[in-house]
Amino acid sequence: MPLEIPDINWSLLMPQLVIVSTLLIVLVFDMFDAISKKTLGWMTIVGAGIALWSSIDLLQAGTDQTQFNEMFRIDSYSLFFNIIFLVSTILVALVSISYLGSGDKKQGPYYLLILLATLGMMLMAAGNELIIVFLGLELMSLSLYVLASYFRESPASSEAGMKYLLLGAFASAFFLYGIALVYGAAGTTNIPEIISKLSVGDQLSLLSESPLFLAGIFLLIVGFGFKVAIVPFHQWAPDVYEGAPTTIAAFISAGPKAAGFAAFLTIFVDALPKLPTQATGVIVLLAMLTMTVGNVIAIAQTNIKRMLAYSSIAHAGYVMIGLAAANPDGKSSAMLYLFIYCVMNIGAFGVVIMARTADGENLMISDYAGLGFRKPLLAMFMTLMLLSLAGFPPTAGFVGKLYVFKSAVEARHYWLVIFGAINTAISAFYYLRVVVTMYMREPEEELEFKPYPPTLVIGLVLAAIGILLIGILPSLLLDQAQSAVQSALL
Amino acid sequence: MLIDYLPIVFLGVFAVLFAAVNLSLTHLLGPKKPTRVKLSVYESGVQPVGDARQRFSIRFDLIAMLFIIFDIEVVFLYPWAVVFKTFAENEGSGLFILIEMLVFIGILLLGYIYAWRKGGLTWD
Amino acid sequence: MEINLLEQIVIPIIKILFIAHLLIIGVMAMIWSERRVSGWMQDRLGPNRVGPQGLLQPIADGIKFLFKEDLIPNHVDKPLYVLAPAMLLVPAMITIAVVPFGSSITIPGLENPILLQIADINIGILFILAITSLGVYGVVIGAWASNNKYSLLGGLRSSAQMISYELTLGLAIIGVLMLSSSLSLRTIAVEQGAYPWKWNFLIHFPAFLAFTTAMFAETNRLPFDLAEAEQELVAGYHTEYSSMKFAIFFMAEYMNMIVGSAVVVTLFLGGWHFFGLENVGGEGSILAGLISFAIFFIKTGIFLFVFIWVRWTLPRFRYDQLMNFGWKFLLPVTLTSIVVTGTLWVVVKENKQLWIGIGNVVAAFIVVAIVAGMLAMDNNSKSAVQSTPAAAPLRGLDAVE
Repeated sequence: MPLEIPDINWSLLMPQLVIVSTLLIVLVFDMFDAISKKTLGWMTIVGAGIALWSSIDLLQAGTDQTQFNEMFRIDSYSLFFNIIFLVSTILVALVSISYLGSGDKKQGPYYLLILLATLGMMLMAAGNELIIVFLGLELMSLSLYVLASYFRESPASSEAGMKYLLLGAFASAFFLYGIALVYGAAGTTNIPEIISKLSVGDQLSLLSESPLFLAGIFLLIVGFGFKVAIVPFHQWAPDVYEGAPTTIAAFISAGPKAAGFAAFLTIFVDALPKLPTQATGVIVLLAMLTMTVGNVIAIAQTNIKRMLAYSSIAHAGYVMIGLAAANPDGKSSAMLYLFIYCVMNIGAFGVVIMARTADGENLMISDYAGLGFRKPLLAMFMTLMLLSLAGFPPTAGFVGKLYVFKSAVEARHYWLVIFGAINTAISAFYYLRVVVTMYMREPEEELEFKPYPPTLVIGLVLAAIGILLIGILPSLLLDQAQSAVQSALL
Repeated sequence: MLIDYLPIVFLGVFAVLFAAVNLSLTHLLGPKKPTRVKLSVYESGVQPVGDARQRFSIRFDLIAMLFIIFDIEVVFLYPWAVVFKTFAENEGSGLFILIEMLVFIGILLLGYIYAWRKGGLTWD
Repeated sequence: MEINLLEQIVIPIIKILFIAHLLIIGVMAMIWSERRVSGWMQDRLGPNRVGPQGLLQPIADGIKFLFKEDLIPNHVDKPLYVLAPAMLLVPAMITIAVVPFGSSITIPGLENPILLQIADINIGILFILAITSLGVYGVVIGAWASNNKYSLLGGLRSSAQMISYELTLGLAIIGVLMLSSSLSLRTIAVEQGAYPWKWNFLIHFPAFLAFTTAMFAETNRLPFDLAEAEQELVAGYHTEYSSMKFAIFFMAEYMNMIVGSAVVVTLFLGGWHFFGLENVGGEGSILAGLISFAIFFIKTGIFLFVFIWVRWTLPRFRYDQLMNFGWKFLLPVTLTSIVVTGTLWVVVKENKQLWIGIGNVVAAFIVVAIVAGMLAMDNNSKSAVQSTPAAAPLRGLDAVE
């Protein structure tokens, strides 16, 4: 019986391997009560930093290979997403260090689970195979379920975790069933193979119209739709964001959403032109619904975490525009948008954490009244993040929206662009309302704020610099994203 | 070969028949004199209190979960063990398969120690 | 594929009837010998009235069971309650199918020699592990269906114990598999050869001990019979069972013992081999087959005697001791055994078996010493904590009020 040693190029797997090693190191150090748990947070940041550095390194080297029997893809596309995930992990870890009680035993599994979720996201982005995507999805989701209910003493947090678990498990089942049907129709779970089977020469193949395959694709959309919280699969998001620890709400709204879209884009951007036109119609419809529902409901919110939750739903809609465009520009602009969205959303949640008083968090928008001049730093950060979320120049949010809309115009989805523009106007209303509350309204009662923790300020400064830098010099990132998509096409 | 399993099916049929015949024979042969006391819950002769469908210690759940985790890890070791000697025949691949296993068991061991330290294996 | 009626249907059925009846008679013999041996160990007589030396006692018991009232209490979940004993008995009986109980017999006129084994499948060990683990269902379902607190607690304890020790069972075998490179029990037995110093129990001594211990725990025998600790739980999971249903639980337990012993003999004690007797009457002759069967029978018998011996020698564990023993001693010892076996096999060039045997024992001693030390430290710190009157209150997260 001839046996061969598999040929594995470990240096290509550096980002993942670094994360795994960090995970194990954090696990080991977590066992010693004597070691300060803040150290674990710093270890996470250092580990994610090294992984980020090696991802950038591989990206610049123009790596484009597959590993493990073509199950695992290391190309600029997955590496670009790695950067998104690792940047959000670093920002979340920075924000978390001061947020969790310093002497608390429970901090250990916290960073452990964040790292596990990050690994899951990286698997999702690198998956060249539906099974790997599912593996990553589960690794990420299971960690997030636990993280959402991390504050066991708080009923809201437990409720958030339970809701997330029940609905998430349901969505995973849909996704898995979708994989099964697609496999049944296409005879493979390898994504490029499935896509190549959709057409014969210039003609669409029979597969692209087989009901079994379309049912599978539909179930995949449902599964992804849940994970990235697009309407009508969004109901879990506000409740989970509200109940979960604020840092975790920031984390769930950033990385996992990007990871969901990473897999979503890999499958659908290439597949959509080869599917019946109704499939594009469904995506367009979902994008419109998501934007509108997210923005309109956000207006009615009085709780800032819920408002941010609905705003993040709306942002998923903007990314869907890039997906619906289904051209290389759409893909790269969606990637760019996700990066910007992650940074500014974590920033916004970071400011919510910053506005903490001794008796808890200020989650009502009315609590922010009058902060503009009493707490200039806090208000400045908040204004910047919200302006960016609303898409004002010269912030990154503007750049992101601009390119997404541009790609949709190229794809002749004019109605989608008009919808997006109207929605941007709607969203400006509720984002600016917070800014107005901060600067132009007198507070009802005097609040005693906690001193700003230095790590949180560092995190917010990094986010702010990122937003302004990309806003002023968008080509820094867009070129990377475009070359990533180009290399994936070649 | 599937035909090798045929005797097992025969034996299974035999075992099921054996159990069924025994269970029904005693049902047919034994006397039937039920009384109220005979048919009640046995709690050492005392009047039964409450129902047995109650909540029980979460520890049993924890053990079940730990079992699943470790058992799946063990299952992964079986194919490895079967091909181990074939790989070990020559120098390079022998070292390769050994290190593969050491990494795997190392991670398993870390998880095990973690569960231990966090009190997952403690009964009180 | 064409099915050879004689070789693939008739002969297996003959073998099945032979082995299954041997198993049932074996259970009776075990019940008799358990009572006689315990009588002998406790310096009393034991049953000696029915038949010569009380030999017919189990048959009398069986008949009596059959004529007892078949009581189904009101509060039980009836279908499951009736099904549970069968669910325990059937797996216990099926497991014997893959155990080779002797070499092979060549009968002129037949194409292939007759293997003294019901089914020689290439995944024998996996089959045994898979089927024995089904036995837990019988216990749990019986306990739950009884709707009795004693039963429920006994069933929970028993299932937790069985799954905990199943890990050890699975891990202890891996060392054996590594050196035999096969999952077939027949191949494993053949690989060991005829000489006791080449048998697996010397090469993998710690794994052998761990496997045997886990076997005791799997069969719910003393010192691991927490599930039916009379003083605490009356009869554990079968408290509500009477007449033949109780007897079937009982039989399943003894069958598990017999099959377990047979598996241990095959895996670790060389199966049907014994030096000097391997070629009596020539390869494949009926005489050689019978002798090999006799050797297997005697080995299994000796091992069964050990079962009884242990039962009347050792006191029962406490439940936390039982769990500690399984999870904190046996599991690391078997894991280390795998690592040591693998490393030494690759590193050492000559006398591999000898070095692995020595290495395993040394490593096991080290592991046990470390674990014992850690447990002692744990106990010290625990008693220190308990002596402080007010332990520090749990510090909550300052982010949550």
